[in-house]
Amino acid sequence: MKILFINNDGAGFADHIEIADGTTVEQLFRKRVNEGNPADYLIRVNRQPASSDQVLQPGDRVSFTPTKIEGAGRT
Amino acid sequence: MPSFDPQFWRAAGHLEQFLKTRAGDSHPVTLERRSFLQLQVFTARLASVEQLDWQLSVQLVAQQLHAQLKACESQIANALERLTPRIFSPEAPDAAEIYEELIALQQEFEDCEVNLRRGTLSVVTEPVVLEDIDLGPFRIVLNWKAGPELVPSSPYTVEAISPRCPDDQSNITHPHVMRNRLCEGEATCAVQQALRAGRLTDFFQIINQVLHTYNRGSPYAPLSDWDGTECHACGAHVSDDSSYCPVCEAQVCDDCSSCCPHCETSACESCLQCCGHCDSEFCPGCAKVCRECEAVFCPDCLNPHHLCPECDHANESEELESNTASPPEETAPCVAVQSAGLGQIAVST
Repeated sequence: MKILFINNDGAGFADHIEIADGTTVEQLFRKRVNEGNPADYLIRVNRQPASSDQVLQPGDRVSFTPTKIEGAGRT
Repeated sequence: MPSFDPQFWRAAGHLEQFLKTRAGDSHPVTLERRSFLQLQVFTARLASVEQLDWQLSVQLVAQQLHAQLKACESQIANALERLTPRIFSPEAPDAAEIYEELIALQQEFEDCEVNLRRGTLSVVTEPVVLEDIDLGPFRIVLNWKAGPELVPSSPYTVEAISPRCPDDQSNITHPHVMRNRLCEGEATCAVQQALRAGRLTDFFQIINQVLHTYNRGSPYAPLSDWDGTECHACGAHVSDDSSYCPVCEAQVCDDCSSCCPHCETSACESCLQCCGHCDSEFCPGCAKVCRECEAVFCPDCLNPHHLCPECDHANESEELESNTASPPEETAPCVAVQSAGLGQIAVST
């Protein structure tokens, strides 16, 4: 099944990706954010906070936004 | 399911137009044909002079080719930058999608406001506290009336609700905010992408997370300029009422200071020493020097004669040996000599 996956870590591109039926939020996170800690991300499914065991549905919109993003100043 | 909000719906219509205008406002991707033809000319010329082994000419043409390659490289980098959004950017969202974003935004931020007259959508963040410095909440304002010609890359401002600025820098309200403009740093691309795609919740959340993160490597002003200073030991920010080391007179954070267990004076870790016998820490004021080995110990580990346990033990052994080896009447002068020595050492220390 296909979902819309938005990774706001880095470039912030959105992409339609294929995932297996029954994939949970945690499984998707582990697959997409290799060494990341879920606690360091705002995880939303269809713009709503999601639990780690939530099973994703076709057409879901999933976004991962890191809680620590470094700004700058002097260039 | 939240009830229908007509103001949000009208705002969604304005934002739809705004995002479509921005999407159509792409800068053209251009490459100067002449530059690349020149590149071919210099490349061929270099090959010729190398074949002829004209050393001076080889050097001259190589320099020209190098400069031309750099010029072309810069053009390619520009073209790539302008091309990337065209490849990855989805179509601008319609009003219904934007309306859903506005509803979600209201759930993410308690204070979410639309001002149709000014053409703004704004949210207020939670108070931003960076390394114990409370900078207060910030209002992030997206201005859809600003137009791409005014602020092509960032049609938003970041305003401190109760500005707290470093001394003499009233235009800096956050280490990464100057004149209400956020320097997005590593969020630049994600912010642009979220706005281009109309993902308003992501747009505001990313900016919010940047505000809640301190990049000590590249601020407009370091946090130490707000209040207090940097920890002398680890570089972390410390407030004025943090620990002060009376020995080296440096300001240190709580993690880098300890209390001397003998006099209860607080000192930084580099000024506290460790006793060679019992491993307890002590400050320089409590340090005691063994009169025999001259090593430094804590006050608990030196006996009243200023001897460390090892030297004390060694002296006792020597005394015992001399007592058993010599006749009793010969021991008295030895004790007298040792007493005199004791006095000399006490004076010298």
